[in-house]
Amino acid sequence: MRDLRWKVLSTSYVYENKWFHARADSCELPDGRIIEPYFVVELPDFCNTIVVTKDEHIIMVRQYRYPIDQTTYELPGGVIEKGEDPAIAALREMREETGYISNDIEFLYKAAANPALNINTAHFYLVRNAEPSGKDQPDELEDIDVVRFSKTEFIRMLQENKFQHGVQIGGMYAAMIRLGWLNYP
Amino acid sequence: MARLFSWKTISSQQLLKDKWIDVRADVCEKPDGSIIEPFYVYRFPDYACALAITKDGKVILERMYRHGLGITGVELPGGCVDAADASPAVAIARELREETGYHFETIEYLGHISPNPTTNTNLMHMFLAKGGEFDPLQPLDVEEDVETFLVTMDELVNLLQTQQFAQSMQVTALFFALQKLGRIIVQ
Repeated sequence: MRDLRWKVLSTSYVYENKWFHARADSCELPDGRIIEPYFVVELPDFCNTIVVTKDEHIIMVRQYRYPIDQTTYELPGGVIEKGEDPAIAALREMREETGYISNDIEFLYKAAANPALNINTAHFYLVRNAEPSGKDQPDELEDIDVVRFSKTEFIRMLQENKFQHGVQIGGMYAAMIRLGWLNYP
Repeated sequence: MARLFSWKTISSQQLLKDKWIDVRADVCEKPDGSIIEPFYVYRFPDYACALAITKDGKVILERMYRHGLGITGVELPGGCVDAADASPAVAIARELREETGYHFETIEYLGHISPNPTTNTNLMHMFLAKGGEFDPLQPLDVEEDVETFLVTMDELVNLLQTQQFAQSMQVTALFFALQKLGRIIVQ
């Protein structure tokens, strides 16, 4: 296997504010070609959780996504704070967005969101035995609706490609396989 | 009852734009009148990828360096839908030829998803290509610095289970393809 890595000759930030960190790298490819600038946008890692209740329902959130001007059904999740354990972040986001709690959490997998241009990784978790906390209410300001799908309904929607978020669908399949609801024959 | 969520674009400022990236900062108004400022939007061309299978049942995969995260990972063949491509299906046939040197008997559409609706404007089109035959006369796109290799179907599932795939959106495409092939079933 050849070494395909690029060498970074220089790097400098072109934007560095609270929500947007972008740098311009000067890169040398293995064949000697130079790419300058190559922009990299530094986004934070995030987590997404497949939340399963005791009675085998999946808890999801419905929210508006401005870049595609559509309202999507998505897994609860969000940005992992600096220094925060990704599993703790997953439980926190689940509680804040859906009002459900549980301590029955397991790691599924992690993969890059867009490794060509971004530095962040998506971490996927499966939570079982989730129940409404009764006291935590979903954050009204987040503009989120909490929705419940039965096991059959969720699997049908997954197989019919009714969920739009490409990063998350792989996590949904991985969770279904971990739960034994889908299987490699 | 479903609420209305749509935001209105008040203004838009281009931050970065070149061959690979296009980022703008928008000022948006929510239905309740509140203002979101800034909201960063990534405009990308549509993208297509395929689970590509040869005549003798091997899967064609790629190794490629990705500078954002600085990793060399396993990927499915694919690429951008160019303005010159008549459709995503034409684009994937071209990308498969240029990247792998293989021609395919059938290329089946598996649907599209949004790579990341939180930030991106584009779509990813997913395909299942079968009956691939290597054409030694096919000129390869050397600019892209891609290394291709063949694996068996069992090795593919093992690579998936051991998290060797670099891009989360391609993991999604793989699960759709495996489902189409009957290699993932409802219990």
